[in-house]
Amino acid sequence: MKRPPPSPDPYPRGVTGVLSIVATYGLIIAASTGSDVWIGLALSGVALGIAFMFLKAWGVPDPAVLSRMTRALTRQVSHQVSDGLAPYKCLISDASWGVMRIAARLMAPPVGRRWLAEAESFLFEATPAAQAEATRNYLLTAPQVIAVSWTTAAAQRLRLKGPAIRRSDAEDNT
Amino acid sequence: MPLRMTVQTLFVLQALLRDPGRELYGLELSEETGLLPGTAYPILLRLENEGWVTSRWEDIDPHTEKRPSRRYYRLTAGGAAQASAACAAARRPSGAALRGLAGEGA
Repeated sequence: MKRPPPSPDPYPRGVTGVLSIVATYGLIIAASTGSDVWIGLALSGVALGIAFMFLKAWGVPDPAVLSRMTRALTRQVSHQVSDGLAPYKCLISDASWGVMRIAARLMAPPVGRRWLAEAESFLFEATPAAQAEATRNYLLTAPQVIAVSWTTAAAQRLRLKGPAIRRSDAEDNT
Repeated sequence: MPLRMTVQTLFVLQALLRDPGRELYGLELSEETGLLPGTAYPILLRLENEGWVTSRWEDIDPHTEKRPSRRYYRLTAGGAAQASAACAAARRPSGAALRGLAGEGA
């Protein structure tokens, strides 16, 4: 019996790339033993769920759109490196730096930029032996920073909105 | 939301309290507290959100200095008082611990 030709890969390379980044990040988080790990795992689960619902509802996006999204996610956000004129070289591996950039992108914007710039500054001055441990620690605690940054941003927004909402309620009642 | 006073938070506060007027950057804080920078960062973020700590970027030209600028942290006036109180409270043994010791002695 003639075997049917193999079906083409339903997912373009972009999807595989994004999923492997998510899986790698999840594995790095899972490698730790702290209680904050579960926050990271929960966040990763939510992110994966959203990605799955998105794919199910709208299908696999155009590779060009995916590649734009990946570029946006991995774009350098450090204020010191992004100008391309920095006279120093980041000493950690490109892969680790890439994951750190993605983690920074998941944080509320001002905190993410600052976190990455501070990490860059620390890693530049740390001894080579301390760099690997510090990089791992930065990545393991990133979910905590993501949670704190968005909680703070939401609280600030609520504080700003709160009096305005109450005032408009009062005006409606009069 | 009240600040959660963990052992790591107390380490950071104690390091900053050693000389409240002095500014510390990431590497110094890490050396003084024994904490890795990623662990200290969320703590500093919370302390800053609560107004206990203030921070600023070092004012240098990275091209001249050939290194990235550092982020310096120091306690605010109110933060120093609250940090002292928190550290003092942490040093006081709790009632339960004292009762436990008394029970062991009896």
